[in-house]
Order: sequence, then structure tokens, then C-alpha cells
Amino acid sequence: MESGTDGRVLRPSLNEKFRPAIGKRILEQCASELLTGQKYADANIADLSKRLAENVRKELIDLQFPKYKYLIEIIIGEQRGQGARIHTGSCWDIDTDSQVTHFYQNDSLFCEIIVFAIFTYS
Amino acid sequence: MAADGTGDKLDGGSQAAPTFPEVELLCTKLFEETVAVKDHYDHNEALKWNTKLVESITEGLVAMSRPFKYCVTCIVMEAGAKFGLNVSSTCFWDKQSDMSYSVRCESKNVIAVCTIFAVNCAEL
Repeated sequence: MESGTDGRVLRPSLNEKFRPAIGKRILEQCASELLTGQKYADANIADLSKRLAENVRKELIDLQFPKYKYLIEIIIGEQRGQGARIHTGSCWDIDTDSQVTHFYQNDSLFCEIIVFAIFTYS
Repeated sequence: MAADGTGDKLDGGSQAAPTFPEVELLCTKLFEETVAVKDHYDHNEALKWNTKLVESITEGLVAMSRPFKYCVTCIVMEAGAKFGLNVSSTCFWDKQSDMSYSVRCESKNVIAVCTIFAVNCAEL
């Protein structure tokens, strides 16, 4: 790890860095596991999206990358032929922080999962 | 944005996370300027509106000069049609110093939902 003069860690080493490829695999797995065959219904959608978010978070924590914080956002919408655009932007440290996204859809709903992985220096 | 102890460039702003009213004001103002003025939702143009909205929100947040990293997500969709949408988020972070905000802006033809995460990167 690269350290500053006061002992704070400024950069993770290569095997401690969160890589998007690993995150992508997790998102694909969680999405297909929980959403396959699901229909969009007002009654169950809040609970479904919360469960999906918590599954993703648990899988990411289990990766045990030290000093990383995770921000997970789940967007589930009904497939009704309407148009929508989703865009993300950030102000961060491109050497250490990254984002992964996954888009899933079936006949009844579409789902976008966005994960930001942020490195903490202290 | 390097968080080193020497030559800190972030003087002039406070050390705390932006308050919700500040962020809400920023988002609604930028939404009015960027998207609400449009007559109707156009799927091709919406990409440009959304990019501009996200970039201007991020610039507005950075201009507050606080020691935070920001992640901004915006969904722009057409209003009027009856369809469901659910946006949820969960985080693994330091809940005392980090904050998230979700702002919903509506105009006659377009709806936008902006979600902002602010992660503290100040030195201890």
C-alpha cells in the first residue's frame, strides 16, 4: 500500500483494489436470482428492491476489501413503453474509486443496479 | 481530489456535509434550467439533458468546498403515462459522517429523480 508521511494509506495495493469485473459478476448473479419471473406490483416492489439492495450489499461486504465503502442504488420500473434515461456522475479519486452497473429486464419490469465503491484514506 | 495534510485547497467551506435544503435547492434550480423548460420528453434529447443535469449538479456540489466525494445519479423520464417506479438505496459507510439525499423534481412532461451520496474524505 502506498502511504502518506503521517501513516494514512493513500492507495490500495493491486489485490486490495475493488475491481469492477468482480462487482459485475455479483450484480448479475443477485439480479437474476431475485428478479427472474417477478412481476411489477405496487404491493411487493418496495420489499423486493430492499431485499435486492441488501443482498448486493452483503455480497460486496463478503469480498472483504479493506477500507472500502459501498453505495448501492436500485431502480426498478414498470415496463409500459415509457422512455427513461439514467445517468451517473461523480467527483472522486479515479485511482481508487470505481462504479459498477447492471441492467436487468423482463416482460414486466426493468431494473438498474448501480454500485459505487469508495476508498477511505484513514 | 487528494486528501493530504499539507496545502489543503479546501479552505473557505465548512467541514460538515451539505444540508438537505441546500442540496434540494441546487437540484430543483438546475432541473428548472436544464429540463423543465423543454416542451415534451424526447428520448434522444433526454440523454443530453440528463448528462448536463448530472454534470451541473456535481459542479454545484464541488463548489460548496467541503471535504467530500460525491456520487450523483439522475433518472429522467416522461411524465403523464401511468407507470410505477421504485428507487431504493443502501450503503455500507460511516453513518456519522456520510450523507445521502434524494430529490424528486417534476414538470408538466418530465420527471427527474436525483440521488446524491456524499462520502467524507476529510483527515481525522
